[in-house]
Amino acid sequence: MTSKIKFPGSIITRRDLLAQSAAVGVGAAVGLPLWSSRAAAETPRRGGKLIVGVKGGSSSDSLDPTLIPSQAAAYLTYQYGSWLIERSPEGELRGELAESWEPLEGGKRWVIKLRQGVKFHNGKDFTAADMVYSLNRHRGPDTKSPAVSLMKSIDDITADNPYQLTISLKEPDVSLPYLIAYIHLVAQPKDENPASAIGTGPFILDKAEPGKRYTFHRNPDYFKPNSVWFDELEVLVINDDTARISALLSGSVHIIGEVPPNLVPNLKNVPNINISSSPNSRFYYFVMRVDQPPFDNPDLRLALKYAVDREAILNNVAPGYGEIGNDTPINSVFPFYSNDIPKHSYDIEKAKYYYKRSGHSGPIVLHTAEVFPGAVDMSVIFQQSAAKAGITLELKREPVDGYWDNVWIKAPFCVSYWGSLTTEDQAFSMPFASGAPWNDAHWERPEFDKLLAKARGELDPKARKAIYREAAMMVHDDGGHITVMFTYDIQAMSNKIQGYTIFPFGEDARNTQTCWFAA
Amino acid sequence: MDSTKLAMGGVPETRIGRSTVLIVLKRLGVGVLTLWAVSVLIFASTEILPGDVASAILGRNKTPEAELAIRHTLGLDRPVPVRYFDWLSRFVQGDIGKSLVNQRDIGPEIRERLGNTFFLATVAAGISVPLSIFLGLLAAVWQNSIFDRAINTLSLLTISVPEFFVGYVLIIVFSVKLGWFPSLAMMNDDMSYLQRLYAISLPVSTLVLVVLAHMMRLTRAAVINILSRPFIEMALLKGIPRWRIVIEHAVPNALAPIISVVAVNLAWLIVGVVVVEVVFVFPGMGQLMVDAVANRDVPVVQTCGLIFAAVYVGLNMIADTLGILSNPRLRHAR
Repeated sequence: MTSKIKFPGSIITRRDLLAQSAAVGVGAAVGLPLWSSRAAAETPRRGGKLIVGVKGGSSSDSLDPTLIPSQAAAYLTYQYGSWLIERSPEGELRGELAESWEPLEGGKRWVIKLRQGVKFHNGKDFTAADMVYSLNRHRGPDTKSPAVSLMKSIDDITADNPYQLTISLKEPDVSLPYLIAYIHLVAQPKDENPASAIGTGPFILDKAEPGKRYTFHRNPDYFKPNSVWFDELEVLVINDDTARISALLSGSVHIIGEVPPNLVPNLKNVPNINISSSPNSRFYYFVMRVDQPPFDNPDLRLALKYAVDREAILNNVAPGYGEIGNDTPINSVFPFYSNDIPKHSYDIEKAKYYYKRSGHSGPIVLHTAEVFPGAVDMSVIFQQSAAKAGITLELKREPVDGYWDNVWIKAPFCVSYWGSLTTEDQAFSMPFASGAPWNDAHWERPEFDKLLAKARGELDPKARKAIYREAAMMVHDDGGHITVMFTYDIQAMSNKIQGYTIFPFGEDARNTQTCWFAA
Repeated sequence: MDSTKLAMGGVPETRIGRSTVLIVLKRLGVGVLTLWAVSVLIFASTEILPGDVASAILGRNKTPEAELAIRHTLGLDRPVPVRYFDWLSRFVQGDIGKSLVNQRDIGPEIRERLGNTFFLATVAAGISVPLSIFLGLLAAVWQNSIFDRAINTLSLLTISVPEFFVGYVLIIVFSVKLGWFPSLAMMNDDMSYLQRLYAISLPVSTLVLVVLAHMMRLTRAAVINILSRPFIEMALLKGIPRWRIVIEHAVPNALAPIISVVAVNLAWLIVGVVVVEVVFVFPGMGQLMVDAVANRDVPVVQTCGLIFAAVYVGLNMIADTLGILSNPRLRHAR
């Protein structure tokens, strides 16, 4: 790693930042030069054509933000789109299309003032009506958007005037500003094909060739000053890991994402190549259905939690680029992370003790498939580490194709992962709240749901943190997840790229507007 | 295609008899029937696969409501036969339909990708077919010589390692180390013909190395087989030079097996190169079909499948016809 890549300090120390979101957002919007400040040391240079190689694109990808069906589509969304509110590299909220936001009635109603003079790529003015339309596309019974469950708490969205809108909630939620920073909730113009990638973002799409190549040019009317240095942008879909890396090595592309951790050592020795990694909340876990025997037995669950050698798995799957999981969905990237929760580390004696107490005997079937790189390795290491504690795991290989349909949520014990959870509320409510469609452990605890509701209405950050710690403890002790690890995103780039910034939560696609070519 | 013309060059001038026309017509009929059967098979197998386009679109983010909504808008809640005949009646009328996943017309995308695939296959065939036949003949003429052994060993080597490995080796040497050729075989509209040729130089080399061995060894074997016949011995005894024996007597008799192995390899160059497409990020048909299968995008799978089947049926038909034309005994069938 070189000095050109800035790591935004320790994320854990900035726990008070939520105060900014819950109180009044005006301060964030006033500071216009915020997004240029970190690049001040080196003077950015305008010009050139940036070529990026991304993984995970398919020839059927659509650019409709209600879908965002692949990682490549997500990358593109950051190029053409903007949001009301964004997260800074430091994790703070700041206004993007919103100038300010203010909670009324303890967070039950939110008044959002919009930036004026912003133009869509088709030349039309951006107004509150467009934003209401954009947000409403993700609500209601007919929407295909995965944001629908987040939007359930919204009662109504109205445009008060062309530059102000009000969001009314069913229950107070102080994390609403975080919620509307969600990747799907892009500002789109009304009366336009929603898959046309017309937005207010830094780059204007010239040509989309799904699964292959997307070309953009710089948006001359972009509303953020001192950003977007490249004149042109080309995003190439290169799904094969080796092909992506050789494209970087041979100079065909400048930046590649999704570098497999096991290939990093090979790249590190190459001159002219820099490696960067950004923390993420993506976690990999084994899920036990707590409504079914034998996993309805809390002792057996604990025995299995102690029987996983998480360190060995992390060292095998993502050496040096991740964090060990502790059976909660919150890791150090979140502002309200509590680092004092007792660790469920590999402990043969404890595993034996709880296994004996559970009274269970016989092999336990674990369904596994390579649904993420290293999933099967992770399962095999688990099998070996559990065997040392006298617990027999039987691995059942499933096809990757159709895994989310036929195995996940249905099988009593299987491997899975969660990505793109960006707030504590999401991280707790999407996988664990009662009645949530993706509650894969079928773990339903009314006390837990009450805690989440309480946190949503709690304006004091300290008190919120305490509530989330309590929630994390419940999931940790009793829940059906064996959270093995969190992994970070790894990017590699040519040393011609300057100003590369680390954005947490998988937003490194924003670097197209912060970087420039060295002279 | 270049290669078929080339194969025809070796055939003595002849009038295509009535019986040949009949055989071709019969073959055509069987071909159409085969294609229809293929369409039923593809449709049935996409039905058997777990999950459908709704779950593929939603993936990990699936909710029951969203799944139902998508199924309904796409008409997937109708019975299977209804959907099949709906597709068939449109297809027969020339409407290959829209992608279920992104609602775009399939036509332009397929046209472009098919063009790329044919381009790659044609260039690879244009190099590999003459080269392999030439090398095969040399190996047959100089049977058991050092040249024969060297070329046999080399071609065995390239055929026995998987094609992605050949591709990676070429990338490391010629793209990363030497920097002569691009590792990405991107095809863009704004590229000239020469730029396109340059872009596909590495995938073409990979394909040539992979198909060369098969065609070369079969050519060699077929010619050697003929050379061991009594009439060749007779020709030798009459004092005809060896090269004339090979060109005038052995090759015409060995043409039928050579043509059929060429046809099989040509078909493979069009339908079987998805691995090479992935390694070189080449926008061809293989990748399109793999994506479509993963997404259960039935209209796209159907169209790709039928095109692939048609290529096989067509090439085999041409090979059979040429085989008949090259053999007077078959040509004048009673």
